Amino acid sequence: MSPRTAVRPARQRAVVVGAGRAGVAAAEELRVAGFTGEVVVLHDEPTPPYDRPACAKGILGGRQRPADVSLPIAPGVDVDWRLGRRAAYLDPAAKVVTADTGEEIEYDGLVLATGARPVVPAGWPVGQPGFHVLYTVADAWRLRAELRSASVVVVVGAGLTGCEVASVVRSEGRSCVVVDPSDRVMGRQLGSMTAAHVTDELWRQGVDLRLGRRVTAVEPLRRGWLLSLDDGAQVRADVVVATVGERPDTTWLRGVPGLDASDGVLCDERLRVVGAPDVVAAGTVARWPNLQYSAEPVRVGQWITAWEHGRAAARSLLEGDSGTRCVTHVPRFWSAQFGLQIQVCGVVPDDSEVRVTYLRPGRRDVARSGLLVGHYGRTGLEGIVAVNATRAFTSMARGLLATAGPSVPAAQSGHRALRKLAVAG
Amino acid sequence: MISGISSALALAPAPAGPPANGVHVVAASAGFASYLLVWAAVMWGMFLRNGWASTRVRHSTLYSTHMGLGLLGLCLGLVHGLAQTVAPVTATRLVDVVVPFLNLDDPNWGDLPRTARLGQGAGVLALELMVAATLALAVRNRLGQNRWRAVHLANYVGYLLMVVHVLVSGSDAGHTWAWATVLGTTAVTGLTWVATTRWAVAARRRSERTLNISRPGGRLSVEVDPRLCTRFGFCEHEAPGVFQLSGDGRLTYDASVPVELADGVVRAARVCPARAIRLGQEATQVVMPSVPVPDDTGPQPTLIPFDRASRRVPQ
Repeated sequence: MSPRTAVRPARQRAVVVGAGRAGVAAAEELRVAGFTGEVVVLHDEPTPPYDRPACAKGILGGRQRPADVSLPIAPGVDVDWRLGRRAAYLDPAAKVVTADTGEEIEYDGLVLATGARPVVPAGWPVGQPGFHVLYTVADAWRLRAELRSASVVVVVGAGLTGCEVASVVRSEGRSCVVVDPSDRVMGRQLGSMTAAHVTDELWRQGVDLRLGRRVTAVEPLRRGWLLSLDDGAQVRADVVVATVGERPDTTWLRGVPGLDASDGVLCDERLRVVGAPDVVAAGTVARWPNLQYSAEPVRVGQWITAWEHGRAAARSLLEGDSGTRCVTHVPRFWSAQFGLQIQVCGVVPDDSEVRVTYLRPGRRDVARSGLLVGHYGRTGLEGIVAVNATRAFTSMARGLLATAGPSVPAAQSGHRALRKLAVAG
Repeated sequence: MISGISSALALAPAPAGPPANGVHVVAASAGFASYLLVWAAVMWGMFLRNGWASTRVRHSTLYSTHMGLGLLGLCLGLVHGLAQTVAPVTATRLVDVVVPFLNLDDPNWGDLPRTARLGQGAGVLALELMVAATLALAVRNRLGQNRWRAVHLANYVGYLLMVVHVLVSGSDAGHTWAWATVLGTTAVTGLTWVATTRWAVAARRRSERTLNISRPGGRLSVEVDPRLCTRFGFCEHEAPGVFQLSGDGRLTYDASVPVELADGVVRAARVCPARAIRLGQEATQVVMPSVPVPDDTGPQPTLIPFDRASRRVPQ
């Protein structure tokens, strides 16, 4: 830790808020790096840490039970798990985190890894029977139970999670209606080119896609729900799953002086929180300049990101001011749905130049036959999207990952401005 | 016991039995071939379920072999049943091939013991179960994956009924080669099934030692569970020398890697979307280098101390 805190007489204490992928990775990495003080992990769910991606994948599909998806934690790692407690307040000057149970926990180093919360439009009856959001393993388990007896399932929001839910529903032989305001599914995540082909595959597999439509009203029926769309259509559903988006879980940081928690927590290029000494952030909550691409602070809400962030944030915390290593990151994620193995590496902005390779040209089911899309930007290849082309994806992704490192020179990057902001705070 | 039953059978090829008839020979050989094919299909199904050989053979090849064996076995089973209707030595009408246990008291059976008559009914049931489970393939999408699998499990029941049928009412079941083949194949199937149940696999895992990569010079054993592996290839991103995804979608890997590569392999196990990679330490002779592993301060803190030890954090 930094020399300033090293003079404290007691054993040092690192506190990790959140036990998702990022929080657990940070706690483990603190030990790997040789930190001998106390490691305390606060977590708002009463369950031990688990793999969040498995919620929409294995658990909904019935291949896994909640006990099967626990996060592998290296044996013998000495961590004080405090589950079932939400962090309620942070005092960065006194270095104290207050939990909602009233516990006050002093820290020498703090890792913010609170992840995100699902959002739904105001007034939607989330939590009532048949109306679900999908974020925690408990959500997935409840939804799975209701899917058994449902015959029509409506998924609102055709993002990655929404499409995975739709895939499970179709594979169980139920009818599935997907409502999304955009003209294709997963357009933001996969890039418009790939998303169009995947959308075709969803049509082919019998998903009732209502694209370009919004839900205007939700009314309860005697059994199920009646959704009104903005084109006047009405859809009756036994189960509604709202996957319309998520926001970083930073409400408890509102009003903490010096912190910019407007959209995640603003960090410098080493994931150290701007405006609070000895605090780092990791995972979905961290908005940091990823110098791999640009100096503009961004958030990345993916699982591999959370894992890499957790480790990097723990390193930054231990190195203190002496460290120089920027945290750069090439995002990667995957999804298995409708018989498609979808993989993305890097960034896929809509204005990038696109080169497409069809693994089996001339086939009508383009996505199923294999598709590899390279996104080229200012610095050359910046992103790859593959559908059923794992081998080609792997070799290209390895090339992309080999280039990992700051491509934006630190001199022109925004972190000087961030430092100023920190001083102002 | 088996030979005791079959020696009592009127159909046994004893001197007192009916004369060898062309139709009977066809029916009997078709039945026996059908049994062997169905057995092979069941075994192949277990190969598919457990992901065995998936590092060497493509999934689609395994799948089509499974389908082919099963369909051929069923067709021969139908031939066997229909041939019985025209064989002169049995009391099988066309309706008896479809409806079991209808002809139990038929006088045309002669002095055939009741067990053998019941066995014929078991054969009809087996055929019908398997035909139904196969036809369910047509409505697989409507049924949904989980319910289809439950229906598909009926094939195990069908297979067991088939074993009973062959042993109890097979005309050649008295021969040692016949009942030994049937019992042997059944035992292989049963043992394979028991060894690969969820509980057996969990018990095996519990008995393994947990990972402790603490000694240099050792080797790390790597195992990928083919049932879980989804072949996305993220492990190859982290440890390219150890894991390799081949062009036709198989994953090959080194089952034993020097501990110096442990860092990448541990990362691969962590990043694996399917949690299919398991690591263990092999019991090999370990040559300790001169650099000692520090274990002086505090609780033994690190997961991988051997190469991180020099990078201790100043306290």
